[in-house]
Amino acid sequence: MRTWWLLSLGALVVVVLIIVGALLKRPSYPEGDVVLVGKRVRASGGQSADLVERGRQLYIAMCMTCHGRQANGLPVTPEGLRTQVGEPILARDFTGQTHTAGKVVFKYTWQGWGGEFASDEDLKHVIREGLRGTPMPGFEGLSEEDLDALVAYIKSLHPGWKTFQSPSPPSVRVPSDLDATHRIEEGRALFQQKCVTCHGDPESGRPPIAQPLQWYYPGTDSVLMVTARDFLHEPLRLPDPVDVFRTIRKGIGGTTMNPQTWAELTDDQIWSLVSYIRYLQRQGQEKKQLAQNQE
Amino acid sequence: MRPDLAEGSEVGWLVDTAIDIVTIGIIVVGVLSFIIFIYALIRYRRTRQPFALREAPVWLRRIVYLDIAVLLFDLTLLSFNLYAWHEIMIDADDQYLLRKAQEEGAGFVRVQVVGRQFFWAFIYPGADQTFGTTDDYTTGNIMIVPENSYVVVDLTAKDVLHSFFIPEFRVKYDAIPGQRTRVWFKTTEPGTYEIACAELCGDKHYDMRAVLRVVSQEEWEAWVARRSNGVPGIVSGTLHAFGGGEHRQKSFSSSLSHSGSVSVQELSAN
Ligand code: HEC
Ligand code: HEC
Ligand SMILES: [Cu+2]
Repeated sequence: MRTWWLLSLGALVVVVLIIVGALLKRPSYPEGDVVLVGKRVRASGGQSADLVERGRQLYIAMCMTCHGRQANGLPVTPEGLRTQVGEPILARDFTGQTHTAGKVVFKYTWQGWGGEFASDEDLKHVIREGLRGTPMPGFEGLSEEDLDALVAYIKSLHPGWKTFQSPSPPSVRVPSDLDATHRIEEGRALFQQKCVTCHGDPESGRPPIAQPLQWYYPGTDSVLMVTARDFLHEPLRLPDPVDVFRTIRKGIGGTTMNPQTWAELTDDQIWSLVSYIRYLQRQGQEKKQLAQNQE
Repeated sequence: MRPDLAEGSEVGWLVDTAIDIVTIGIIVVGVLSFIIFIYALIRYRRTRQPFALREAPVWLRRIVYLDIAVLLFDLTLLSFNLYAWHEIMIDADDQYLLRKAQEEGAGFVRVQVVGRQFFWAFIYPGADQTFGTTDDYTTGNIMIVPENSYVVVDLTAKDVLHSFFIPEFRVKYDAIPGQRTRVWFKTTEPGTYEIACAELCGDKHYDMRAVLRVVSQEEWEAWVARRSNGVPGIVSGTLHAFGGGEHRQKSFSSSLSHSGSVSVQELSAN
């Protein structure tokens, strides 16, 4: 009798220890001073706490696996992210933790090169369209409220957003002769002057050059690198002509592509560059299709 | 409860019938067995039958026929399920479906589906119908397919097991990391359906939902054109089709504020 009693008491102790151990070891979202994906967040910049909380829930469901538990771009999934051409890539850091100057910088905005933060419209545009050639999908089915919530959450992740004034974006019209031959010719000449240093010369086969980014790999001090876009083989992140125009006019924040170098170009010349880049994309497309048909 | 079968789901009835056969069969067998069981409990209780029977009474021996009935039922079920499996999975390879689509004059769409914690990504080959080219595009949590088409889904996952589930089309298949599987369904009319994850995959599993939107052929073509717009020539000349649709036009309609002078000569009418 007594042995049975002792045995069951021992078993009970073991079970309790296992449960306590499991609770202590429970995976928790890491702590940090700015963001805590796992914690209820405070409201900021006049956003209602409910909206931010809704955004946080959406973030956990749809963005966290790539943008990370701490929203610093370190993916949750062990498998690294890659672009369509196989380059490793990290998702954007929304907290400034991994930026060399602690800033929150976006690439595809009217803020452009050297600017911080982004307008709501630019963020929503990226979320809706996705970034072609990266794993980031376009969540185009999201309702306007959900987009607002996501943006509110992103803006709760860095105190600097509170004082940020987003400029009103310019209205841009696409010229109707965008894909005309004379534009492509003009674009090619301009490209030879201004862009080949980094982008290489796609038509003579000179490859694009790897460039440092303004972000560290989270937790280390090795700076992330990116190869300038290869217009023949890689899709544009945002292929819309208006976006390409903006990218060239305003540069790409966080990268070496500083538009100051070609500040003297008129908008019309920029459109010619756009048509040349579109022409290269078409060429690459045709080549690839030809190769596939031959298989 | 089972959701209504989507209009025109080609193979949904197979799944439903298989489920019905099993349900009805199990009810019949279960009820019969319980009747016999309870009868035996009462009839041969200890006070009435203190010693075990050496030999079953003759009528009881005939119960063997029940076994035969069950066996027959099993065989029916097995053959029906094999038929259904054949129709849904084995016979239906890409070539077969493509041929069938061509014969029927229906569309044929290929989509790669990737399950991730906790959303579905849908990768489209773009206007050139080829994966891996620059006009591919990916949507998150929304799958758009044209009406009257065979939709072939190339399924995989990036982190853990998920299960691609469209209740109305009776499609449910595991998405397995590192492995590609294929499922398909046929659409008829435009409509909106739910896509869910049917494999517990983490704490937001319940939120892993996507929308399946079956759209008309024109809408589909416009959407593909818009989404593939990195590569023109497909929507040659008509730049209004570009520009990311309505919302772009609206959001950038405020006055010009950046420094560069705008000297765009020929503005497109719009
Ligand atoms: C499958 C991975 C993945 C998912 C899921 C994902 N992203 Fe991203 N996201 C990326 C990558 C990779 C980049 C960086 C691309 C680059 O640097 O060119 C990025 C960049 C961004 C950017 C920066 C754009 C810019 O202008 O610099 C924003 C904003 C963004 N993501 C928001 C979101 C939101 C919101 C969600 C969830 C609804 C989300 N992302 C889901 C991978 C992902
Ligand atoms: C100092 C190097 C450098 C120069 C000079 C440069 N670029 Fe870039 N460019 C880059 C890098 C790096 C990227 C890739 C950025 C990324 O993906 O993070 C890029 C990307 C791009 C993209 C891709 C945008 C998208 O949506 O995917 C376009 C378009 C582009 N550059 C156009 C130009 C044009 C036109 C010129 C010449 C006027 C030019 N660039 C000059 C470095 C440069
Ligand atoms: Cu799942």
